[in-house]
Amino acid sequence: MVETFTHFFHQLGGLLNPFNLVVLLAAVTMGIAFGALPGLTATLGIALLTTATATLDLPLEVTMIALMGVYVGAIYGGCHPAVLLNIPGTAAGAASAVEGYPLCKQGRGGEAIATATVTSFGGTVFGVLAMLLLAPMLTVLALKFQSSEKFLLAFFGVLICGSLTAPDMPLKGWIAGLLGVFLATVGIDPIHGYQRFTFDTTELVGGIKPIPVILGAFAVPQIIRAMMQPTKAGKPPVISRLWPQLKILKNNVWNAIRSGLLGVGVGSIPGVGEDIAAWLSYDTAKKVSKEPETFGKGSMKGLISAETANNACIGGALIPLLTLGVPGSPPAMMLLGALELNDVRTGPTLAMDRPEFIPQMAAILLWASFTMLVLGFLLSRVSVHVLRIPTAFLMPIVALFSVIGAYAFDNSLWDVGFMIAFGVAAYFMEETGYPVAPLVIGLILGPMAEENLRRALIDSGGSLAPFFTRPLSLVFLVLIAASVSAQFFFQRKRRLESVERGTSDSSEC
Amino acid sequence: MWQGRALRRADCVCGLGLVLLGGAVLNAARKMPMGGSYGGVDNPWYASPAAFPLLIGGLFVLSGFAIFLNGARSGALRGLFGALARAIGRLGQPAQRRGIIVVALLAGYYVLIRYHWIPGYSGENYIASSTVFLSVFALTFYRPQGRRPGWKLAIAIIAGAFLLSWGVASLFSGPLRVPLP
Repeated sequence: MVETFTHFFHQLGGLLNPFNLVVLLAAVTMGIAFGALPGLTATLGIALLTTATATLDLPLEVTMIALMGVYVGAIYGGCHPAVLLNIPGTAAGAASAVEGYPLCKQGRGGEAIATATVTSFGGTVFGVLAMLLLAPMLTVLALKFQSSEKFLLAFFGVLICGSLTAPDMPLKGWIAGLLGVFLATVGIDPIHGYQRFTFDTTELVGGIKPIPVILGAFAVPQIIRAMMQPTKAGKPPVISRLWPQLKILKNNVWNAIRSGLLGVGVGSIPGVGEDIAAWLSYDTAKKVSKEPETFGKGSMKGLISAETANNACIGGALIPLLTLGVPGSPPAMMLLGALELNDVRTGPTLAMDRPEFIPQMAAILLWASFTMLVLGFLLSRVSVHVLRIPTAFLMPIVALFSVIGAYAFDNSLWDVGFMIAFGVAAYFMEETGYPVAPLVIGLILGPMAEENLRRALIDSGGSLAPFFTRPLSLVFLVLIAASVSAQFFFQRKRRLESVERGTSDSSEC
Repeated sequence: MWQGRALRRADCVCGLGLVLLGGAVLNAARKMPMGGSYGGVDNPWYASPAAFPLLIGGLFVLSGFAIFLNGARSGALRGLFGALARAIGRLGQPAQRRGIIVVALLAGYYVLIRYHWIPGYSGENYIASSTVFLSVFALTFYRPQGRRPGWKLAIAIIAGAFLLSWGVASLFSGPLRVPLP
């Protein structure tokens, strides 16, 4: 622990050089623009910048500064259109729109943006602290994992992501995850080298690559949806007092700490992103508030809870990514791809192979949050005009960069075609209640699940006993059982509530 | 996301699709080596390349049935074919039509960059393809004050599309060293 903090303070100073600062400023600005412009997301921003950094052969440190800068900026940037135009730039900014826009209509738009900026900064710093405190502990634990635990961890990751992201029913989230795991079996199998589901297609022998899938899953449905129901930006509001009220911030210290904890907690759950952190925190703030009736009408408490949580989620999402090799959110999935491109093997051995890496990531996150704080204030008045770019111009540009993003990794047009086809399929999946995040996490964790299941069975001579006798395996089995039974319990409860309200599914139709 | 009975009808169709997919996966897995040794490595069934696909295929079949039953229980099977016909009829509605146009434009963009489509020109066609894609996309959807852009604005859009495509191509082919198609 002490060593981690020593490395962290060393890295804080070591990162400061003019080139890194220019990269950080550019990346955070790009991130804020990506977060602010509806249809562009943190995941997409990281995906596109990963292409650029990989092709430029930048050093790992600079690559991470660029990608983390975009990540932090994009998660924060979603609050600008949410507050000023009632159009959340990202799903993570949707909860902020509920309180931010009414505040803007009351003439407090500048104050709301400033408060969101300060609390987003606070949330990110909270995430940094969580990273520094929890990552070493989790690494020690993860080093004890054997094949059975690694399989169960991957299985739990897909399962919990499916449970928490499915809007209709958890089973659909699990099916989406299973589809991802199935896609991961395409290509040469990890133990015997046997070709599976390749249909004699050369491009499939190496397996399905995550980057075209991520771009397809997160860019194409956005483009289709944005063009199907284009939103018209209203008259740009005038931002007057761009400063938070210190009294409000002081009164919300506990609210912010609770939101930070929730953000870190949600972030550390595989594949569950900043949007769920923001909504969960907002909902909790409303439930514990003495004045719940003020929510939805411009409550600073609600805005602070959502903005703190979604930025705290960044640090939370990096913890399982770096210590277990399991990404905590969709942007973290993309970061995993970028790390693999740079020959960084995430997981429990990372702390031994590169002891300085986790503290370095924490230091980059802290510098990115400071940059975000400064740029957040500077760009608030500009962003309101940028937000008025018509979607008819913005979306084809997103498509243009997505095509390059999919192509540039392998110079393969097959990947471009796959991205577009998969993106259209992802749109229909989402329309019918199947979330795409579990699919992507299934694709990423699928090889880990398969290889470790087979290795565990080989080691035990085909016996399932290690899955039930090893204490760590048992913990995972209990977590899996609890997660599945909780879903059935909540679904039954929801069904009973809807029957009580007389609005069950069948009567709705 | 779709709502109500439309969603439950989709469950029936997706459930059947999953059962079929699961069946296909199981069938393919059955043909994979299971037993003896493969590639010089012991290949008991639980360690064979077929083990995981068998598990996944089985889960697809089970979950497909569960989703199908969920839809069928809510009465979504009644009038399913009529609903499908009505859904096809709805494709002409403005929002759906716009969605189809977007997908067609994306597919068209892929075809343009995939095939060298300018006769007698075998060099880089990325700039031309992207200019066409960006211009057609913007001119299809951009309606200032609810009207089609005039010819001056159209030329400006095409010029902007060319400049952007050229700029991106120069950036990627130059400093970023990505040879574009």
